[in-house]
Amino acid sequence: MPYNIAMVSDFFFPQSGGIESHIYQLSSKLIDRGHKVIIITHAYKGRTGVRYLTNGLKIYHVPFFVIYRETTFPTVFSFFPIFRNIVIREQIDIVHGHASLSSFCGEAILHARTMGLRTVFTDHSLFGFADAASILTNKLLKFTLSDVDHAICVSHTCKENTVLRASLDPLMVSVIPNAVVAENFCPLSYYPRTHDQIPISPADPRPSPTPIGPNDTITIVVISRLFYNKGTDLLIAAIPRILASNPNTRFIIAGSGPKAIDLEQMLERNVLQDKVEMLGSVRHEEVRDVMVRGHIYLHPSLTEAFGTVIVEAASCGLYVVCTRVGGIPEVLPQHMTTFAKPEEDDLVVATSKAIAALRSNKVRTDRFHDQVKMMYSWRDVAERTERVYQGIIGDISPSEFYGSYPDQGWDVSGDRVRSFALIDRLKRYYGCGVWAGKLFCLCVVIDFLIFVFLEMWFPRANIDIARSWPKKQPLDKLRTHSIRNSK
Amino acid sequence: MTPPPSSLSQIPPPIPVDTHPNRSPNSRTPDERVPDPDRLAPEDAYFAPSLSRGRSALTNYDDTLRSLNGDASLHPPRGVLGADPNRKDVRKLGAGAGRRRRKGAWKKLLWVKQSYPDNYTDTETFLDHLQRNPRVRPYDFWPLVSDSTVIVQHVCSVVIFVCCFVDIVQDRVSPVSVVCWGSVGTAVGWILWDNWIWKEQTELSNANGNIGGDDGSSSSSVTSGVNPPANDTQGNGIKGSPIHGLGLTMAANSSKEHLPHQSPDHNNSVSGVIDPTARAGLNPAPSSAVAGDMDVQDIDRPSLFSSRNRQRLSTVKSAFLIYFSLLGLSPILKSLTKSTASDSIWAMSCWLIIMNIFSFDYGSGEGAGATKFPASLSTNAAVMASTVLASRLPSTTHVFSLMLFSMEVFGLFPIFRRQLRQKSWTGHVCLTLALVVIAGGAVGMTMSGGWASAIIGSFLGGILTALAMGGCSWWLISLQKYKNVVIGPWDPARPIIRRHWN
Amino acid sequence: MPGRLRVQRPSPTTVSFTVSNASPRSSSPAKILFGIQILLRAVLFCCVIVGLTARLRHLVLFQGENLAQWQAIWSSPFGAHLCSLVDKYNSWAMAVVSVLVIYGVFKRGYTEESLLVIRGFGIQTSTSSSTYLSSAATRFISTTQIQDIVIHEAFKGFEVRFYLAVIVEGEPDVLVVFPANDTGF
Repeated sequence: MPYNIAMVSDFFFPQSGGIESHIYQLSSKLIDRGHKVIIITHAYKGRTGVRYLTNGLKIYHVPFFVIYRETTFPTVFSFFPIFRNIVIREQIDIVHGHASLSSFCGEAILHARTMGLRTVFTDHSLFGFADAASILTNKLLKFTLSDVDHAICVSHTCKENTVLRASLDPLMVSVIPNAVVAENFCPLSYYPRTHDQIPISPADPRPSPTPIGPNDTITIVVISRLFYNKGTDLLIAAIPRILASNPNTRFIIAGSGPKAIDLEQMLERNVLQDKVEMLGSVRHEEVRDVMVRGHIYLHPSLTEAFGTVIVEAASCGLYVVCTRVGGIPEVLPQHMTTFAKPEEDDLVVATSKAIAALRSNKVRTDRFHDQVKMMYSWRDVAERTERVYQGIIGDISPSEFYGSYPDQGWDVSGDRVRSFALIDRLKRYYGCGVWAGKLFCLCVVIDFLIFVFLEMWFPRANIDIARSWPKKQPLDKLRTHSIRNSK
Repeated sequence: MTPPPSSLSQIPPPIPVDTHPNRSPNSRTPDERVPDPDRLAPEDAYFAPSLSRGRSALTNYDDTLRSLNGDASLHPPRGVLGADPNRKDVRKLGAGAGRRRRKGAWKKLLWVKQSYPDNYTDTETFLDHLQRNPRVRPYDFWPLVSDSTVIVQHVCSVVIFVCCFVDIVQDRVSPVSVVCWGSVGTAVGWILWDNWIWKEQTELSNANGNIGGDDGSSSSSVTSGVNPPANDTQGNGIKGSPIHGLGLTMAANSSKEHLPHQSPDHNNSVSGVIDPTARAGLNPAPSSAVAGDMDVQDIDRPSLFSSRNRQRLSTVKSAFLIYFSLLGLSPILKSLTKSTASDSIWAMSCWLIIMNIFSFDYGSGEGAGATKFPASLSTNAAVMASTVLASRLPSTTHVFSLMLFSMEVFGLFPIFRRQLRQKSWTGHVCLTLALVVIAGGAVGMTMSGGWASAIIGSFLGGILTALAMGGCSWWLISLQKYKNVVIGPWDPARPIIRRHWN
Repeated sequence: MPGRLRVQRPSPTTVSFTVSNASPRSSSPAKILFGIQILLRAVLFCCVIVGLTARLRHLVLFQGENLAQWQAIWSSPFGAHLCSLVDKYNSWAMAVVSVLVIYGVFKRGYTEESLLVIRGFGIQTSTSSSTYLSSAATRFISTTQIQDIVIHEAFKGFEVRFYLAVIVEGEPDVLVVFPANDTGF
């Protein structure tokens, strides 16, 4: 039952970001569940070759040519020999690609299908359909996803987007959200409780925290890269009005980007330097320390697939004010958030409402941490991902995995279990478009020929099998052991 | 897994702008009317199935939302397109009873642990915020044809210019007669223009006097009514001062396009103030040209009539200036590209004229300035083309005439055409017809000479133009059914910001 | 070609690991083949020497009667034939060709790498040179200098390989023990 999984993406540590930590957390939790996980990414500066991270997570930093923002140059086939070598020596069953902009991931999925492996793809971002760049991206995504066994999206909005972009069967797309490591994001005055307590019980023994008085300063935290699509323009327009209408309010802004200059100009024009603190960019591990300095987290983003940062903020016990865009409305319950339209006026109103709510002590922000901890955990994400793996490998029967919805209107007997026969694959690719379909088919045929050539030139027998990391016993087994011992 | 190609054709042609009310770009759920799906107790996160089963409001939510959405917006996932009507029936029957019976209703939330598998796809809420072609305006045939007259006019004037050049080169037409006819036409056009401006300014001053005491509510309509005259005075200013070359003309032109953008701002910020000078003061001053024009207006306003004469005088003055400077420059222009081979000259002028046609600002100057290229690009290309062509002419007089004629055709004639189109539609149509006939005749004349061929040419030109206009319009309309703009919550929202702090 | 590992114990306190990618010469046909190869190399070498001498016969060195009866050799039927044959070719081309052939004659067709572990003293690595003319490059590392010995993986060409490396104190780079051969740990 334990699988050998290869996570493939252009984005991994030492670069930091949402996708990177997602891959890392998911991999380590899967390892905890007894699987073997390796990560294949391209070489970063000063980081080439094979490395191990905590828990025996093995990283292959394949030396490759990087073009833009740590994305490799899309050379459809040049990655194949080394990828095949890695896959064979690690005895991989499932290739799991991440991020649609990563050319590494797309190529790996193509090669993995040629080699007869099951593939999963996780989409982390939203794309529109309007401009030329996204048309190209969507074609590439279609190429990647035409033959994938299952796709995972981080929110329902993201799922709709991916289904539309790649013309996928909706039942082949699962929604598995991101999660946070709640321990890394606890409020300032937090002491963990013992497990036997029910999280929310009317007789909460904890003393309620010191209430916020009407004249206490309320600090609003903004942590975001200062880009247009993060809504920095909204922020710039809203800050002076929020500060003007709400006395005893301060801002802490962390992050850097091209819009930082505009923000600073606004501060100077309105002479707000004493009320707005700009921290510049902060490292991910410092985010919590910045967050706990505030009471409200303001997130003015214009597009967001999931918005991990607002979950982190809520976990730190901050009340969240965010725009109602993308997948954000799905992420947090109503009592933790105030939603605003992406309009200056509405953002000001929503923030003022949030400040008023905090001042009247209606919001129990001290409970947020425990609640978020119950909602999102990487262990849960890993379990759900594992179910996807079981489904595509066939350990769960297709009818159970894809479900049967007789009253839902569409048939379930579609071609969901993707066969590896070349002709079937070509059929799938051919439907991608008038010209693109033929081009894709050509790519697949060439890929197959390269595969045959590689099998002859570098026979499998000559490739050493890598030894896997000495495994701990899976957690549940440990638990049964301890129970047995205690008996 | 791709949609069968035939499913495309089953998608109905563009849906007019009847999108559902709850997704103007931002608002996903109208909180006032529908029970919010997010309004769950936090306990739902851990005890989801047991607790939410009792909440009937929640299960109704989807239905309510659906009724709000209207069916046009909901498109089923691919592969089911053909079965759409059946599916709807199934849904209506099964939605209320069947689903609730089975498990707790599925919610489009991530923080609730639900008893549905991760790849569960809810037929009701899936893609319900999808909009297809929300902002598409279906075209009608006749408006399209009438709009295409603008292009026809410009192409015809270019054709006339080229024919004149060819005839001059081939010695069929005397250059002096060409430039004389052109100048006469320009003078007539200017007189007409001046007349319109005068009328409008008197109207404006009357309106000023009438509405002065009005309240703020009507200000918006008034401002928009006032805008064109403001533009025209600007245009007049241009006409009055072409000494600085055509670059200035263009700057003023583009500033013309700026003005309408700002008018909503004035409606909000300045209530009841109609004095254009006040507006000019509030402007963030897109270019110095605007400010300068406004200043002129400011000075002019008290004595309208004398200023009119002054403007006329300055126009005449600058016309003479440009005349003489061209006269002085023409020997230089004649020898400027003399050393270049004729082949290069023909190729270059062809490209330049094509550039002129494609980058010409066909907009009416009202509304959003939709042209990507600055209008100056078009005019500069045309002037450069004529400069380049001028070197192939035998004498200085020829060069002078051609340059003057090209300025009249490419610099001044478009301004007149635009104004005419705004003033009188009949005039516009007549001008179009005249241009088409003249252009056709000129082509016929150039091809074989003689009046008979000119008549045949104009006849053929007219027919061909009519066919092209109709055919292109029909083609554009028939292409509309391929239009498939998909908009949904994944698109980056457009932030609405008013720059108070500016 | 995967190398073959040979373990020898020359003395009770030493172990020698030798990896060679030469083809095994255990069977009699293989031995005969090896003999023929040696013979061929010798013949080729002789041919080159004779050819060169013939080409350079006009040089002063070969004019006198000091070493051999040169004139007699050149005037013999075989010598005359050889001379006419050799004179057809450009001298530079001949020089290049003969250098290449001599290199080929002395080229070792395989690499042999060995690791000698001496208990208490250290390790000695040796890599055979590419020709028969020079001796193997050896390096001794005493126990005190060795920080660690690791087996790790690395990218080489289009594959990922295991390698054995010694981390030597005071050196920025690790010392890879069997650099040329795929040992397959």
